[in-house]
Amino acid sequence: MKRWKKIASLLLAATLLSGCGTGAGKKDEGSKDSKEPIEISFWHVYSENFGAPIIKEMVEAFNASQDDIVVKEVYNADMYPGLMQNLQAEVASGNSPSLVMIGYNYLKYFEGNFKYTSPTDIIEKYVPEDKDYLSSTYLDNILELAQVDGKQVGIPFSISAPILFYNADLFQAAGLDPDNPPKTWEEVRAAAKTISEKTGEYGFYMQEYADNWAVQGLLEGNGAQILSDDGQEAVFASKESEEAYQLLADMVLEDKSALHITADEGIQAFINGKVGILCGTSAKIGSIKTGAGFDLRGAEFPLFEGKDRRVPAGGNFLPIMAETEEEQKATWEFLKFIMQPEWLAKWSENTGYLPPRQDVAEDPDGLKAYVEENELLGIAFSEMDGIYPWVAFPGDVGTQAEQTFANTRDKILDGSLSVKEALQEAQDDLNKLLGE
Amino acid sequence: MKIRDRQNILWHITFIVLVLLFLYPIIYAFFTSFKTLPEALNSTTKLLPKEPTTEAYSNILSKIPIVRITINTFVIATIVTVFKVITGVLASYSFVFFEFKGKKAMYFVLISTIFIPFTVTMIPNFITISNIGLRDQILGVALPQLADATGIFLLRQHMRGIPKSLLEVAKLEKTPHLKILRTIVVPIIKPAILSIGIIFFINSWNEFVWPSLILKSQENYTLSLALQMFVSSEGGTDIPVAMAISVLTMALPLAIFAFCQKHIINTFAQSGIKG
Repeated sequence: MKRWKKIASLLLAATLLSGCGTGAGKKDEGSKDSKEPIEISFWHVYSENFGAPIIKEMVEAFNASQDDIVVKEVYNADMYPGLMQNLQAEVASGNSPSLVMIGYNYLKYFEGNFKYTSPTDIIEKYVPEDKDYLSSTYLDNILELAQVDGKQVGIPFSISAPILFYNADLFQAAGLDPDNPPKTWEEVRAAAKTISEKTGEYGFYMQEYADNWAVQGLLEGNGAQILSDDGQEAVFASKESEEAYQLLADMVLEDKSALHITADEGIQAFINGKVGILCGTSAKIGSIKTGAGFDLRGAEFPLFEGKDRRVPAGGNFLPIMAETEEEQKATWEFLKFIMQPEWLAKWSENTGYLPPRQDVAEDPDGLKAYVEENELLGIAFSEMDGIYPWVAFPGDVGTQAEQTFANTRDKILDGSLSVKEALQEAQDDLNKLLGE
Repeated sequence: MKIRDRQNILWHITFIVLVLLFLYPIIYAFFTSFKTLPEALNSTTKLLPKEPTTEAYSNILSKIPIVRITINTFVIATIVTVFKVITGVLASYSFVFFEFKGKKAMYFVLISTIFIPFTVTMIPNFITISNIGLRDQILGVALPQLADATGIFLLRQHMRGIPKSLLEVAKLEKTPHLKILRTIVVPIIKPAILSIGIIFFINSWNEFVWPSLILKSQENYTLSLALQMFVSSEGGTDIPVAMAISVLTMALPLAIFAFCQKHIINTFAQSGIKG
């Protein structure tokens, strides 16, 4: 009995002591700086093996470059939904980070539910000398990625585009020309069929995350529209969508040349040489390259005969949530710092994202040499003028919409509903939600 | 006799297969943590690494303060466990051995809090912790978890198994309640306390959402937050590192479980007074 008591009290003492230690250690760090620089926080979603080391490098370089501002980077687990959840709690408690990272598909949700300051307002109020900064630095179609009804919510930071990765060894084994990858969806279908017939492996896989990103590229490429022009109604159950989706469904169900599994499994299968062509995000270039033990090559996102390329932008933009004038100015300084070509170039090299500024690719300090060597990133680059916003559903329908799209894809690709029925059902469901 | 032997063998085979099935992921994680990234991605079906490397572990050591993070996790789990057990024992003692007005209603209200999902209390708790200035501190994680209705419920069930007559004697001698609790009740339900403590400890050890809301600086992280730093749906996961940190996360709870296995099984196998 006595021993039990002893152990318990020891444990208690130990825990309380180390608890105190944490608090005390912090205070010391704070009091070292006598000049009291402004502290701003930057919330991001990048993990240690993808992005975070560069983010830390940027922050350290900025902090070392001047004495007035100290930036603290804060990692948020579980990507954009995880950050959104933390942000809701933070805002509910009356605090907010200075600069946050929001996925494009949360653009409208963020705009409608959180307090932020538009970069154009900050420029107008505090830094009139930067008045041409936005228009002279970024392409119009890139700025539009972070706009709601013409209002600039934040500044685009990372952009990923879907590209085709292909296994040139499998192409060779199937008697296809590896120097001549498919350019249209019909050619993709034919190549996939040949690969699966000749080699016994799967021909094609399109990434299947719990979102509609890659599918949107497929449907819009055939001229389909997801939302009506005023953005208030879902209109994707059209003839164009049906045609495009049918092609993917036929590859899975009829030709049996394409896979229908989750994204992690599908990409793993491609890395293991079990799939000929992978349609996936350019942000995966790094990890696919590390793993692939075959001749890995890339091609641009396929087209429909006679139609223009439209690829949806993945990635994120940075809105400013700082509230005081001082903090807003400091955040603007930091934002401009990380948007310099050399930092954006580093960011692209390490992540496979496209930079929001096109001059990064031509800048000799930037990515020029890298893009020339790195064929896969170069392919993503060449798609840049065909990049359109990832459709964000208004209000809080956003998250629900991505799930509905993912369910629809399952219904179509496992053959439980026809393309027409499934699209109609999803459109009715979403319009009902939008009407509420 | 023979039929019985054969049945025994059949049962054993079934159990061995089941045990292997449950152990396999752990063994797989252990061996994968010694592979290089290309090997982990390419030879997913092979268990043993071709050229074992501790790269993943040194990677973790160089990138995050893993010792500090392990201590944080331990401290939080210990505070939570110790307090949940103490409050649980005290509360269940009064529910079992005291008669007072509104006891049933109180117990009912208390037990119904089990059914309130975490998502409901998450934001109010966060605001409270934030207002008392414990954001980004490990005490902020532990503070809202010092009592637990599930624990009170389970301990009460065990205390009810103690014959009242045993306590009547002590009461006749006017022994103070705290002494009765310490010298009679606690020793009898000790196995229950231990196993509930272990469950609390492991739950707190593995907790993710709540710490992720509170803790912002890396040096204050817990292990499950650190694990998330190496998993990324967008850029791909560094599998050996993720496995290595999973192994580190599992190590202590597994050791505790192996060490206290007897007690845990005892709790479910026995009731009443032990000889």
